[in-house]
Amino acid sequence: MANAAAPAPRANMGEPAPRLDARLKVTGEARYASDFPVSNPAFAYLVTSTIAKGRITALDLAEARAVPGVLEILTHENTGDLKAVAFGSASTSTQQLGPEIDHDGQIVAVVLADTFEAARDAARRVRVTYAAATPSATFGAQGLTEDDATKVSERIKEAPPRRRHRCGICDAHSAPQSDRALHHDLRLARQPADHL
Amino acid sequence: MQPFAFEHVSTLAGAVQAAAHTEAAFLAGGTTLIDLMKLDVMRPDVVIDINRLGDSGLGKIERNSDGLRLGALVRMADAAAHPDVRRDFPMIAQSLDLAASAQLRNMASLGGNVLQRTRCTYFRDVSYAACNKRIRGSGCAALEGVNRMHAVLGVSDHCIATYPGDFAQALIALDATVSIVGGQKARAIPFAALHRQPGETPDVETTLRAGELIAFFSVPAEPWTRRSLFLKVRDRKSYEFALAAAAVALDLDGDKVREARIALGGVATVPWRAKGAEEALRRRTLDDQAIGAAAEAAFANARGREHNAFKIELGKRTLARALRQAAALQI
Repeated sequence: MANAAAPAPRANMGEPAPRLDARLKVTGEARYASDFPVSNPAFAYLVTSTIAKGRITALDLAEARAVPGVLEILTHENTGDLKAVAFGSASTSTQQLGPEIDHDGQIVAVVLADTFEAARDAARRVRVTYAAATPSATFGAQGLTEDDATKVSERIKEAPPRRRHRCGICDAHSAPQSDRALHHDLRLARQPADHL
Repeated sequence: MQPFAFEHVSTLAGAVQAAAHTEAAFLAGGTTLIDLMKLDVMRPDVVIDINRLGDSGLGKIERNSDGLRLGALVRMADAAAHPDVRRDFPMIAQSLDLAASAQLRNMASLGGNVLQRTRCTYFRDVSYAACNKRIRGSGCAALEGVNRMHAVLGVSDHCIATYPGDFAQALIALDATVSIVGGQKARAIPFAALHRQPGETPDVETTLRAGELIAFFSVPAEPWTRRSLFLKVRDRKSYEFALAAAAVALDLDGDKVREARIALGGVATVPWRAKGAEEALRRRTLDDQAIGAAAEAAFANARGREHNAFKIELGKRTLARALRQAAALQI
């Protein structure tokens, strides 16, 4: 289908493929997860790493657990290995809750409570102790190598081709789980916000 | 953000009474307070919404024969748009117009604006233990850290955080006074006496006493206020703090300077009046030599750190440009 709104692509551009969700999103009709009313939800608030590289050496949750309304606090100490969640052909990235820290802002604890405010209050009372290492994130940082810039285009041609994903098409009537029971087989994944 | 009690008040007496707590904060536009509460930098037990006090004198802009009176609860956007402010005190209008974003200017009050806290990234991130402004005696992470935006004037070995506001530079340059209420009795002080340099106690930023509120600012009309401007140099053209800024006002007799008023933004720990630079211009011809002497005088005691030493030269050039632009204004 020719797309009158998009310019003709040049050699370094992709195709102007029309998006199935475009009209819904620009008109505000698209429904996101938080648009579905849920009765009696629990609320989660994240505690994130304040170092960019290193490891968690201690977690003190006593003060956080004492906040009224807190249901559970998930950390690397009470969760197993986190597995990637399958969403059809969509990609997903996972991160562990520790003890290894790979980037600033890595989730190190998830506080679950019966109100958002309680979850947030408890989250700031979680005490994390780190052994910080020096990250390598700037030009000239230790461990960096330099490659010949003229070889870049060759490397891109050798890279595996990107898979063409179907736009997110799910059962429009599927509702998120309203049961507050917690399963030990927790799967933590980071997804870009896509509508249902 | 920690849980807190919230109160609306509609009288000054009510505000003072509600503030009789150890950790109470007044809320107007909330564009600094709520931000810092979400970051856990400010943790009041009680937040007192004083916006209804704007119905009284605190929400008014008045131009009278003495000069300009700006209520503390006037929004930045309203003051910047006021025709008397724009015509007679262009430095003030520009210092407001160039600040923040349109949304923020619609919300933020003048009183809150002058009391805004530093944007030092270490101050704003409680995961850094070393911040003398948050916790006296804990050290200063910025001294040996990333300090590109930090101050070169008014600094100490305990704190180099920049005072980020622009409007305050116009007030200090134009000899404004601040009327303060809520204490034992109402009082008025020079605006220059409101802020305190960090010294050894960076946690104490102003001379306001517990429970006191800024009521209004008075700016005298003088021969130099019309030929005035605010020049702001920064990484982006909008919605960005000053790397260096200059508020200048000139009373010229031909090309001779009768009087000058100069304040510097983005480079100091408090609103910064540059009296040495003013003296270098007074009764002199405004030529390159005089401008150069003023710029040198303004930054004579500047102390740069690893990432912000560039501000000294940038600040001099910003002041020089502002002076030339002010001289070229068609009044």
